[in-house]
Amino acid sequence: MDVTAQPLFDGTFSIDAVASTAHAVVAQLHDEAMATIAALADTWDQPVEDAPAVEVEEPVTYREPDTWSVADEEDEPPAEEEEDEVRVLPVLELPPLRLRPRPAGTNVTARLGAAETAAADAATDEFAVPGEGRRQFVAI
Amino acid sequence: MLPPDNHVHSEFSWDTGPRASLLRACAHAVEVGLPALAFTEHLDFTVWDAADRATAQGLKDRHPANQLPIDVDLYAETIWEARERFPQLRVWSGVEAGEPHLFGASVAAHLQAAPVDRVLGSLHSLPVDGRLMGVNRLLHAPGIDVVGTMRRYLTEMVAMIEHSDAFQVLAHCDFPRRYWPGGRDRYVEAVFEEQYREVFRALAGSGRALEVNTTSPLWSVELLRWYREEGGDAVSFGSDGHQPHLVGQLFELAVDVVEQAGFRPGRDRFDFWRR
Repeated sequence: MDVTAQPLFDGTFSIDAVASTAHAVVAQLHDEAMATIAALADTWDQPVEDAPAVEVEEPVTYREPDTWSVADEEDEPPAEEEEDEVRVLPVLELPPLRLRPRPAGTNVTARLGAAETAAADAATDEFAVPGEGRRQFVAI
Repeated sequence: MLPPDNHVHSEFSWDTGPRASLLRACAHAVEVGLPALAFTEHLDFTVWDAADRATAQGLKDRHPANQLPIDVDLYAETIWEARERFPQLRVWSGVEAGEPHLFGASVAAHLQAAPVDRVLGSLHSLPVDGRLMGVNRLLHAPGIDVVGTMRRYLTEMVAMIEHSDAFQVLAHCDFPRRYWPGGRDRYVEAVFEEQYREVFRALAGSGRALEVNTTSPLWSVELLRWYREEGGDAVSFGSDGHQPHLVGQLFELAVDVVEQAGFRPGRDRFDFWRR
């Protein structure tokens, strides 16, 4: 045997060395896991730190909806707003109108004139005229 | 054959956008084959008369809102123009009176100054601590009892029918379901059957028509049968369209539902559907 030669690592570790290192790693992982679990147990149901605190007695300011229709700016954000702004509707081509009859009067029926009033009265989906004491429409 | 659209809004309603147009709505109605349509503009009050029931109930105001009065002169001009331009279409004037039982004197004063062909009655708001609040907001208020609020809404609707004879057609009688928390698909009609029946009984007893509203989720055949069983005689179709292209929306489907519930076209194409 050449006693002057440097001993070379043969690629193996002693069983004691491997066991010792492994125990250390397992212990470290265990500690980290326990720390994470402890932290989660303390905070899992807490609000995010940046969330604004809501006072129980804080008054709520309401504002009426902007429409009685379905789309309301707070209920349903207008996703197509940009498209709406740039959409150009074709010109509604209609022939000129004849002059509107304008008899003296202060309400719609008077302004509509006799022909239009008669046409409106002739609408056949009206209810039968109710008897006295059972009006269905404010006759004013 | 499609029925008339008895519930349409135009630029004369405060809650329509810049694309709303009475004349365009007429053009669309002709295009889709409607025989008639009624422009029932919103008649909502932000101030009211001492003689109104709202005053007696201690209501002070609404929450901040955008409601505006109808420009009745320009509206009348435009209705006239529509009749001139679309002779093949029957064009009715109208209003959709909001909470007419609370504003009887104010509604009457408006109609006296500007009579119309059609008057719808609607309940959009409920009193909350002396102020009116839109139910589409109310349903989403913190801690609100949603089912209890819906029951309260339908109970208030019975009061509306009993205390106001100003309207001919009851519009969207379950308006809040459009805004149901969690989505309109989660609304269950059967939960409120008893309250629906009370509304229908009161309406049928007063001889007025029930609107099938096609902006709201379409009713089930069963719900319309409740109306029929409670004596309901007349059904009105309303798109509640706030834009021209929505006039007559879903009418084919709505007609099927109404027909299955036992109603038929009235005496002519302009009439309500009847039992």
